[in-house]
Amino acid sequence: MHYVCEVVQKAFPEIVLGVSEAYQMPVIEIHRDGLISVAIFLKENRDLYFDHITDICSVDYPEDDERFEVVYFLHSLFHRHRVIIKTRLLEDAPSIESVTSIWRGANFLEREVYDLMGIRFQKHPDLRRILLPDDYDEGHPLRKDFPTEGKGWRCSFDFFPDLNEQPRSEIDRDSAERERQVFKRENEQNGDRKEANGSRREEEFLLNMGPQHPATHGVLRVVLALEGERISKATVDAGYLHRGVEKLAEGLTYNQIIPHTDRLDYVCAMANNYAYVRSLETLLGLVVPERSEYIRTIVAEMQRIIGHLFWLGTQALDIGAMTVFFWTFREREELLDMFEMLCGARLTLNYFRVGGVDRDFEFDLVERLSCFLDEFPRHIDEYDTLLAKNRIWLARTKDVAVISAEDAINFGLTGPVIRGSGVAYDVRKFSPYGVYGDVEWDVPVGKYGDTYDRYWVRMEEMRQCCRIIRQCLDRLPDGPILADVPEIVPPPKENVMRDMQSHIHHFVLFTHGFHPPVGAVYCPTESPKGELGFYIVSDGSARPYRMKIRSPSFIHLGALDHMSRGYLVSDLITVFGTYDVVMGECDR
Amino acid sequence: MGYLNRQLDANIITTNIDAVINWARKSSLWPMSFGLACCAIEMMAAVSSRYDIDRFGAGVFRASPRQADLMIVAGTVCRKMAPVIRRIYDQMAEPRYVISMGSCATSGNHYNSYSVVQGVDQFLPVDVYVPGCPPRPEALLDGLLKLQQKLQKERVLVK
Repeated sequence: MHYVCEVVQKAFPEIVLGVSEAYQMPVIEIHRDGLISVAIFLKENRDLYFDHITDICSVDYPEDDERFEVVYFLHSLFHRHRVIIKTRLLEDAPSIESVTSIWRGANFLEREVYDLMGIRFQKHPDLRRILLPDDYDEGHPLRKDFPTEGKGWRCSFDFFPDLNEQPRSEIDRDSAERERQVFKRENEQNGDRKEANGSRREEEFLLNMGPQHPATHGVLRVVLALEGERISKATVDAGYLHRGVEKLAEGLTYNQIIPHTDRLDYVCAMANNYAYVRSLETLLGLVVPERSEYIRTIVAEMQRIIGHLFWLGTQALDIGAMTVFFWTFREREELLDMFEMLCGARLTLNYFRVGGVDRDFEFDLVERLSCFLDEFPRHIDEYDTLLAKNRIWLARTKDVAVISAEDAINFGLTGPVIRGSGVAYDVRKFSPYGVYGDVEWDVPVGKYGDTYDRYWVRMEEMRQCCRIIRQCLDRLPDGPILADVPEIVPPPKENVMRDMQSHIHHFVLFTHGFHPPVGAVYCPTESPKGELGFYIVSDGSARPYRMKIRSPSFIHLGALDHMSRGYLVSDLITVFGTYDVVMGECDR
Repeated sequence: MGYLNRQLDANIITTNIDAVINWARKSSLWPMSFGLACCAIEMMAAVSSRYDIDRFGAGVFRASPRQADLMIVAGTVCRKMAPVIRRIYDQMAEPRYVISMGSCATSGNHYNSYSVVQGVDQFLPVDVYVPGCPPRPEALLDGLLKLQQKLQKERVLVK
């Protein structure tokens, strides 16, 4: 038995219903009433010390007595171990106590579960829908009895003015005021206003920003409560790009989901492919050929460079430096050309396959990439000449959006955002995959946790990417690029028309798909934005029973309010930018 | 020297007003700076170093709908976003044009789900559809040229 399970079972023999281990991760099933005491124990116990909340997921089993399952993914950055806590809820009263007071990052995660599965969290500070609008009345989409196409909301456009309608005489002031209350600061909500001082009157000013705003990186809406020009509260309203990928995935075979992952974080398609395929391979217990591992690592790092270049260009553009945008896009196009040589697409690449990759690295691609690596570090220095000592850049990034290491961990942040605060957490180092364990590279770490440090971390990461790719290219072994497992991996196309066996396998795989074993797996991968994880629940059929995407952008936005309080309105642009938010991944 | 030559010496050419107005309109289509999803990234690529949409007079991206003539709907249109898009469209001054960029905006693509509008033309009049997932920057430029051709044929003064 895993020692985490042992410790918890010993401390709570009444509450723990069962322990097991799935894919090297301890799983503890507990009774719903004991959640808070177990959660506090997991966080406070010195041997466990689960300080980082990774994700919260919910699964619907309509046939069972206890219909809903809530799954908590916890992580200890200090001890480097993870645990999965599962608990079951009844259909009649699907509610459980909130863990927001223990991990603040749980706030957004619980709201998402409430929105999509309809599970209520008691004592949650702000339990509202998060991805769908507040007045959405069709129910909770991820429940199994909800049709994927919805119940007609998507094609009812009530915002069209009806010419026969009588003009509205008066706006409903009460409901407008109630709507506004949500966005106000806590003490304002309670009516606890400062005393008016003579003729001076203090009042919070609400400012709406987005979803159509050139600097919000897509369709994000934030409502700011302002005191003068300082932000006193920033309320995120996400979901303007909620496409229902998790629901759609339940109706697709495992191979059909790969193109959907391209469009999650559309700036870094390779990283998403990699995360999904790796989860699935863990579930299947599939071993990938060595050459394919090297190629995967190379393309993932190329994608990281693209992601960071994109971030640098847009963040600089938002802050007011136009040139950087054109320069970074110049190098980005160079890399996109190489992707085009490799798989024929620029953005939505769909390059990874279960058991390997789609096409092999040709010689001229290796040559071209190697030339690029010679040149690229010089270009990074070039960007630095524009920014690193630029007074405007320094003024707008230094000491802006500061977050301490403790807070960053408590909010569940990952990737360059947490590394900027001095926490050397990188999935590639913590649990190496691909060939990250075999090559030499360092994890750059910031000091103060401000925007400038995160900028520095990303610049340094691009240099490290070059190091990794260079070593991989030098050692690139020969061999096959796809695993030889005919039940799962489709045969090469040229064999399909000649060889009867391959023909049958091809037909079966593309009509029925393959059937992974029953189980559930969570597998984290370091994407350019942070820890991207796929939690796949399999019931043994060709389609996932439930697929949950742990998207870093969504969790980072949970800290937006905390990180933007006290700064100026114009700094909010910097705060968005510093997370490197991509809404496709955030809203899913 | 005939009459025509004398006129050309004075730098005068004859044309009809519709052609001049349309030529002016098509050569400075100012798009809304407004991206929804993946296609917006390709739209940005079309603006930046290599593709440079400015060559066709459509590079002045405006953040305010009041100053824009062209709306490029670039990405998946979700139901939550639909009223916002419609309002932005209503705020644009006429004449205004819409390019539906990519499969999502055109037909919903493979997102046949509860929250995705199955084509932006359900609530907006679309002038040009650009296929692709996402369309390459060249495809967007082609769509823009198609729109310019369409504009050239418009009748302005005499309906």
